[in-house]
Amino acid sequence: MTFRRIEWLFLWLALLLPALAHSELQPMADDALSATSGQGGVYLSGDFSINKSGGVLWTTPTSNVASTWTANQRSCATLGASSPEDCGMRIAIRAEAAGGWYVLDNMKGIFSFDGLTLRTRFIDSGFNGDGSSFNQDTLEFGLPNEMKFQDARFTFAVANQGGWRNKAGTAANGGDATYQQTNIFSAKVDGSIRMQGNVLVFPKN
Amino acid sequence: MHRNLLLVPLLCFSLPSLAMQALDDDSLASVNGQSGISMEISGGGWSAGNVSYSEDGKTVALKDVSNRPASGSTATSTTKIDVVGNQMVVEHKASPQQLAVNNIEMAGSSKSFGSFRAFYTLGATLKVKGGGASGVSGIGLDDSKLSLTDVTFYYRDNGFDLIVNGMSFDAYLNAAYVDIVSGGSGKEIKLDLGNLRLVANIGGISLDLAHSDAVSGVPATPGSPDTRDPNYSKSFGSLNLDLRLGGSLSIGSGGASGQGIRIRPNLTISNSLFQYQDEGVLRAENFSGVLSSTNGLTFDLESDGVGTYAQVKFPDLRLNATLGGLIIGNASNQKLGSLGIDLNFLDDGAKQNWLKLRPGGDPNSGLKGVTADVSWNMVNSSVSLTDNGNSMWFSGLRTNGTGQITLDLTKSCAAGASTSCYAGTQSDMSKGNYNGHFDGLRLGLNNVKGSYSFDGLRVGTANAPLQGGTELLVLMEIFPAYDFTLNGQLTIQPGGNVGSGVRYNADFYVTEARAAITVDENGRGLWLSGTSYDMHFRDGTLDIASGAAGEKGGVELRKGTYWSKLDVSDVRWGDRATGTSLGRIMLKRFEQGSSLALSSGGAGALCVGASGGTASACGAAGGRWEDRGNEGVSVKLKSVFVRDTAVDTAVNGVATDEKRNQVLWETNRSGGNGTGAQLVIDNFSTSDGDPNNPNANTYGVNADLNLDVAPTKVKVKSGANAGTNVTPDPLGFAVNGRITFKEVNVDRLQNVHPTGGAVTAMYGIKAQNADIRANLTATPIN
Repeated sequence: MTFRRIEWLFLWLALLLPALAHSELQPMADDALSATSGQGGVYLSGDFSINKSGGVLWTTPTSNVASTWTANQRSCATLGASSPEDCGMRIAIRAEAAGGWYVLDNMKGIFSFDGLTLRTRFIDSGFNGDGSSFNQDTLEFGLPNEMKFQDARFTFAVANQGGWRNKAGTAANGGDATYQQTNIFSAKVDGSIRMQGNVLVFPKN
Repeated sequence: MHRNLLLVPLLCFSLPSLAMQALDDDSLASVNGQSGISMEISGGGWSAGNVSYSEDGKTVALKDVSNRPASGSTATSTTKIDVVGNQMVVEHKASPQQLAVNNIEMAGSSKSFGSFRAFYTLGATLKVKGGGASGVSGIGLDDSKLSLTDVTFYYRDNGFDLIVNGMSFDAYLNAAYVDIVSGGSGKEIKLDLGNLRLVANIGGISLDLAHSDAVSGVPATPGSPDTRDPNYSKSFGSLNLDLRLGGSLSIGSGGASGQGIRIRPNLTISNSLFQYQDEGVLRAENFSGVLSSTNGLTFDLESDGVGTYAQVKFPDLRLNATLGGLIIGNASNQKLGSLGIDLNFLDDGAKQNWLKLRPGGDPNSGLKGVTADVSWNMVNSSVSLTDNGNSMWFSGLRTNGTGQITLDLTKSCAAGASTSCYAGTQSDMSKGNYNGHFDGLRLGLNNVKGSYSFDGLRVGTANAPLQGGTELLVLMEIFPAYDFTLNGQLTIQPGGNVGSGVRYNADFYVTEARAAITVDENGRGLWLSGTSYDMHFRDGTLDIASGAAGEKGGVELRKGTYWSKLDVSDVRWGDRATGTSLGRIMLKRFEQGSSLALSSGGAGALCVGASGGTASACGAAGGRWEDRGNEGVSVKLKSVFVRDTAVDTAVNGVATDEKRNQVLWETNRSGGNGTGAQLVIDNFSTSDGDPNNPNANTYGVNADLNLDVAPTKVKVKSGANAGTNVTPDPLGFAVNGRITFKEVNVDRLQNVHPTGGAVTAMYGIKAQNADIRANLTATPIN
């Protein structure tokens, strides 16, 4: 049942995303560029981060011994680490009534870029002749050539409650001995990703 | 013969010259009356049954006008007239007096504007000499002073009072002249202000919503106020102005048509102070600008099918002001820098600038009050922000519209039926369709159809290339372009969340609206088309707070209990009316304890692309240290979403409760809303995520924005030099945003088929511990 739910979920996402956004990652030809109207776009540089210094719900305790944590404390250090670490964002989804929860836990990272552009673009030519039949407005996200990822990570888990609870904590410290969470895998990304071209977003009936 | 006549004046002059010898001390001691003329007048004042002004057959009348002693039965005044040097000096001092007008009426109307009383003490030193600005004809008023002190003003509408107390005005005239010059429909009076200094103070504005007088027939006075209203001592705050005015003001005859009055301002303001004080301050330490009109403002009495009205027209008017050294919130805060506005009102065909004032306000608030039909057209205007010497213009601001505004003092019947209260046909204030009145000064909005748009941002110089960036303000519901029809009401009362300030209740209904999320100069963009937006606020407050220790304070708008429904018929790409649609988006919100705060001081120094509290730590971590200076603007939006505990009404399996947080996306409609496939994020809410107190919900979702104008690194996007840095670092509109929440819950995510009904796709979504930051600088595309 659970697997059918997951399959259904991915199928649903797969169907929804193309409906939301058709992405074209082709380099623009000169004739396509010349058909671009609207110079009022915007060039954005800077960064985007998730919990780069921890979050606002849990503060970082002084040790990794969970039984000593107070109600608003949690350390997300990897198993066996000596020093505690602040936690990322957590998202939990329950796909079944009275079922368990899929969890993306400890999501964090810094993503920095120079030159993400945003503008509206009317396409009625180019694209190897497809442009003239397309004849439509798009929202153009011009990708930065390079995006740097710093300490980007997440953990995929399943749990019996949506919100994290301290299994080892006392009731007074917000603990709940019945809480179960199983971490399936964790991922961490550092480095740069080359992102060239444009993402064109438009509705499709 | 001719020679004898010429001798006559010489003879005349020779006669008095005989007496023009120096007086010795003995003679001088015996001379009386060298100090001019002194007049002392005492009496009971004056009264008139009717004072009226008529033009072109229409009349406005002031009924039962009187000027009497402020207390007792006798008022005294002393006027001394003397000649000092080449000036006639008139010194006037008077005891406190009371001017009263029992009713202001338009002939032919049963309604009226209401009544007023003013307590005041007048003093003046007028130094008059011949010779105006040209030095030939006219009057010079150099070194004169007018003062109006201890002023308390009462405006009464339907038995309720608006009280302005602690007012004073002092005008110091230097190099001021009055001349008669050509203008208007003949001659006009031109007042050359020279270096006029005007110091004005308002101690407080309060409301007395206890009907009529505490003792029948004995109106309240500053010394014995009507204390029956429990809020009588609360105030909207105090105001101080110290203006240095120059330029001129011309007053001529002849209105927009026929008789009337025409005033042509050409005023300059320099080096002036503006300060509004609540618990905190809103202060511009160097306020300067220009108010001018070529065609002038005309005042006429006119009539149409509705009745007679007083009309103010201004075919052109320019207001250019710079609020320098602006401080918001705590008086010790960093400055915002300066804020500039350049507003140009200009008639353009049917888009005109006028105000028609009619007696009587809202139809449900008795016969008194004010109704104003308004029309405006503003062209090629801008708002600018200067931060640490770097400027940014919201350029090409245009707005036009028409509508009707009513102004009344009103009272609800919530505390029981009382004289002049209005319960409405839906008397439950917690409902969105409540149509009774609230306590306070009510601003009614009827069919205000308008639009505004910005061309875009210009950064650095006023003629820098246009760029985007206004998109970054959409979070604050400031759209780059907006067409709307607005109805509703805003009722304000004195006294904020703490101390002075404003409390408010409001219902706004925006219909037929189109808002741009992003738009280019050709009007193509991403549009929220066919939008309706109902907003309801209960027990909200607006304060200028000084902030707790270590906080900035600032403008604090608390939304109280707030619920709204934004229904976007089509999210369109391209043209606002015909672009391809993504479908319908509907957002319902129910919030308690949400707020918006604005203060001066921006992001300061920060690390872009890494973590680090110092320039060296940031650089070592691979980031870039950007110092955006000590000026700028900070905005804090806090939204506390409340969970709806039960479904009261539902259509096709989707809850339709008025107060519920919900997002709905509908596509493939075959015949209007509700006939397509829907995706519903139902009953989302915030929580403090406290395991020991699961119902705690005060933190909400916080969005903190720091707005600055600052240089940043920009790479050339295309061409031969693509990838290289633009030098020097260009200035941009820098927005440092931070969104935090402790916990957000969604009850369910539904898929809805128009005939098959709703299916629950997710039985709960929970997000915790978020601190999402975006640090973006918007510059033109290179």
